[in-house]
Amino acid sequence: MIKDFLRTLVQNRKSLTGLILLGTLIFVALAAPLLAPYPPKSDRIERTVLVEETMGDPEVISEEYPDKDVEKSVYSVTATKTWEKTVTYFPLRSRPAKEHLLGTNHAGNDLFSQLIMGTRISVFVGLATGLFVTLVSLTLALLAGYLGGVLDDIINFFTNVFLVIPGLPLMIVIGTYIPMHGVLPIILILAFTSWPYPTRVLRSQVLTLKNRDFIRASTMMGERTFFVIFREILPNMISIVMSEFFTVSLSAILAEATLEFIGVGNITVVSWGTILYWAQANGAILMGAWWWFLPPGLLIALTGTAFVLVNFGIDEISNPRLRKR
Amino acid sequence: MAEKTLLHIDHLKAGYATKAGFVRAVDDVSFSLRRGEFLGIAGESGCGKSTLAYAIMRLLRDNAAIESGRIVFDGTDIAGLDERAMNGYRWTKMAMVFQSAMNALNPVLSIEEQLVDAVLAHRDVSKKEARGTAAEMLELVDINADRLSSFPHQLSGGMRQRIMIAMALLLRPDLLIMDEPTTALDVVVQRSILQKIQELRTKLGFSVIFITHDLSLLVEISDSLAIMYAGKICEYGPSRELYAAPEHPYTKGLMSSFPTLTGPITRMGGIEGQAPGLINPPPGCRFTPRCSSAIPLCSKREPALVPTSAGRLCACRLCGGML
Repeated sequence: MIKDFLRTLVQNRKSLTGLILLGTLIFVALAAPLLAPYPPKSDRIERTVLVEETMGDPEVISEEYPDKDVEKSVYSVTATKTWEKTVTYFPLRSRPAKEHLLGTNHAGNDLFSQLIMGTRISVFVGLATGLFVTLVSLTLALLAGYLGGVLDDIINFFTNVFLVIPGLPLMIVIGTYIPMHGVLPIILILAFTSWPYPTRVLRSQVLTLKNRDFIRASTMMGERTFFVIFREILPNMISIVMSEFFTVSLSAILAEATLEFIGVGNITVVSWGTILYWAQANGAILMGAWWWFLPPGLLIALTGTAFVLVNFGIDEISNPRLRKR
Repeated sequence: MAEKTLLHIDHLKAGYATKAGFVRAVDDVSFSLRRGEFLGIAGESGCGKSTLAYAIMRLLRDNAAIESGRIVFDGTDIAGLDERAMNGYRWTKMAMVFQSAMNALNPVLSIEEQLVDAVLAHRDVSKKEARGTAAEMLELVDINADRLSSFPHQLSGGMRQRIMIAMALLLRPDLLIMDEPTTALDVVVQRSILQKIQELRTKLGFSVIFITHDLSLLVEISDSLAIMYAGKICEYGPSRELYAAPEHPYTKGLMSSFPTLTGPITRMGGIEGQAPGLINPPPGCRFTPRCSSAIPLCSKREPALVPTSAGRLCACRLCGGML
């Protein structure tokens, strides 16, 4: 099953491209500190060189002779080191150049380094939210759809309530009220506002599958409820589950950027969103500093493209007819 | 008749609770099935054939239930068994080929995975052994074992149907219930499947209850035949005799509803009217409104299913059911 899954993904040219793109992004996110030429928040390079090191004479503090063959002494040596420190300040708002591939921002931070470090936060927030929301909504959908009854009524009620609450304003309201430390609050806010839609979509899929003949047949054959859910129903909805995962992940990346951009998020974090926030706050568009605001946007679009391409392959898994033979 | 009785249905009543009332789709049905016997059950749509099949398998769900009666399978009354005990019978001792068997295969799993799953759901064997059983069973229904890795959409309707039969026979059940297994197939494939079932039956020795509305199909292959009308069995007997000389007016009507292939072409008789609703069935004999030989008494008293000649039963005043 899993082997089949991976083979299908690699054999499809579109999903292979998507996987490579996604893999690159994840690699950049993981290896960000190694790849970034400068620390993302510094505006200078400090280089300290040891110029000279001199040793003073030992100064005896005490001497003891506990035995006739033993001599014990305490002494200190003072070393004198001479350092030379060179501080090179980065230019402010510089254009792309050899030292700064994407120029620098208003505070002199290297934008290329920020972009790489920002990948880490943005991709992590996106995938973590996607995974979290998918797991929650899939569980709710399977429970509500397959087991039905009162449980379905309860889950459906809350889904409906949350569906009518507009997401972005709710995010902003929650975002302004809770203290922002790190990215966990952002992930929680995004998850909290984005679970109802996939729950609704997945539940309806479970409902249609539940009444298909082959699911009825397998329950009649005496297969256990959990077996039916995970072996018979789930593989049939992999593609819709994954497309929900990608949709949620992408919209989480966008929403995270949105929150950062309007200043609700934690602006001390370096992410694609905060780069855009500072670009906007410092009139990057007015100055025509495309190297400042364009790359984060392009990367968001690239992530979306990668997700869509991978999904082409996943479609083939849940619909064997699409597989090439 | 010395052979052992495998299944005995005793005054079985089952049906569906609806808002309009209780639909008694199976009303006071009794019959027995010997080991290795092939029983055909025929009747028009909505006469309770499928409900009967599902009741025997104890697969009535939601608003459907068995009201009363006994289902004695191999000496045990399974009508009152709980789900857990029933799982010991279902599929291992009695299996079913479903009405829409062609859609009963999961599109995303290979044939092998589905057959192996079915074995593992009931038998505590290794995956390898289960695979062996699956391959063996597939060969029995004339499908090459290299088809195991195929997905359902890569197979023809007839092949899928045979796979469903293989899946039903996987655990070597004593009883195979087939609920209109050939309706979606063309006649050539129908024939080959029926021959296959006959062949397997002689080889493996299971009993078959074959449900269909296609009477001509049944006459050829079944040992005995039960004709159902509006939830009741109206005629029962060895198929050849029943075919040669139907006694119940409904059976006569059914027999005249399909043309002979060899005889002269005549205008077909058919049966006027529609099958009655089962919430408020007509009083007396349920066939009265459509019966050409009905007399006023028919709508007052219900005829009993009485023996007419050796091994034959009929429920009609003409056969002495009201005496």
